[in-house]
Amino acid sequence: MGVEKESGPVKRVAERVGKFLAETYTVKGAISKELRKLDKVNGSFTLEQQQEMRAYFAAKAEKSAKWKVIRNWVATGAGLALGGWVAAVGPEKAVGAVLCAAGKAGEWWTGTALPTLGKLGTGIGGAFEAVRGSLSDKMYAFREWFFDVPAGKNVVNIDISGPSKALAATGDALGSAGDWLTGRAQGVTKGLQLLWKSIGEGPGVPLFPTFNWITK
Amino acid sequence: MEDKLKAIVERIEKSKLSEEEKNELYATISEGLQLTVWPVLLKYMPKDQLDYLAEDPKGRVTVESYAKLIEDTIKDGEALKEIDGLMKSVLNEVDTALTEEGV
Repeated sequence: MGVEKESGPVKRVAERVGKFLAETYTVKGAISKELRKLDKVNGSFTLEQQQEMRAYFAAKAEKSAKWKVIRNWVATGAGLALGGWVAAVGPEKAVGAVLCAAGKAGEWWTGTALPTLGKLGTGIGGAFEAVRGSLSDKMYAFREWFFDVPAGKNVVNIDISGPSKALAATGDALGSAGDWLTGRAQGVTKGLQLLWKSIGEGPGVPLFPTFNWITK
Repeated sequence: MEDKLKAIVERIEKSKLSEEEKNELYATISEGLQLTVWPVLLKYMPKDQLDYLAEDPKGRVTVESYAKLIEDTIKDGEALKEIDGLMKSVLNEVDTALTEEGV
């Protein structure tokens, strides 16, 4: 059975997911217009800004799992879609604005972001690890791009009771998710085409802008 | 979400679908999940800021202005919750479709 077949699980899933998305506000006209605006904004970063952001995130990601997460959010734009949430946390001044301004960083991060991300990160990280473990060796290639959780990182047993541990663990988990999505985004092919087809939109609509250059 | 995703992947892996079809399904699922993110962010995004930046991106988009846009979008955490809910819904749709197809 090939994927070109007009009926079958592949098409059915794409149709169903597409229909669901179409029936929510997510891909309706108004949102599409807004997405185009956002795409214009996202696409406006100059090379200098890109370089600045890349360097900044590279340095941060080296030192902190949290920043690896943020960088990957920026990179994926969706980050399983955790991406994009802090997508704009740019260079130092911007980071200051987002996370550190007026002493709000700690409050925001520990009061809002960390609990939420800890919870989501635990689920997503655990899901990746669990599913990866369930895959057979013959699926190695698939594992590589779908569940690229770093070896030795036990993302299942994430202790979210302690902020620092939670942050580190969440960072590893989400960072991996981000890495995966970065790689995955580069290989998007028929699944997306099917989805577009089922939604009835053309591929010119920027439904998930990405910043893959962040990790280049 | 963890359990849902794991169950779906296990189900697909155990199916008689070809490797190519399995990969297509995974791609579709992952993209469906991704598609939930930016639209939700937009829902919570301050439209005045977005309009302002989009009118003259080259002149107005700076790291700082963009950061503020996103900061204001996510600051109360509601967008994150909504995305999480939508992602679960996408997985539910996948699960239902697989059932209908006998996978």
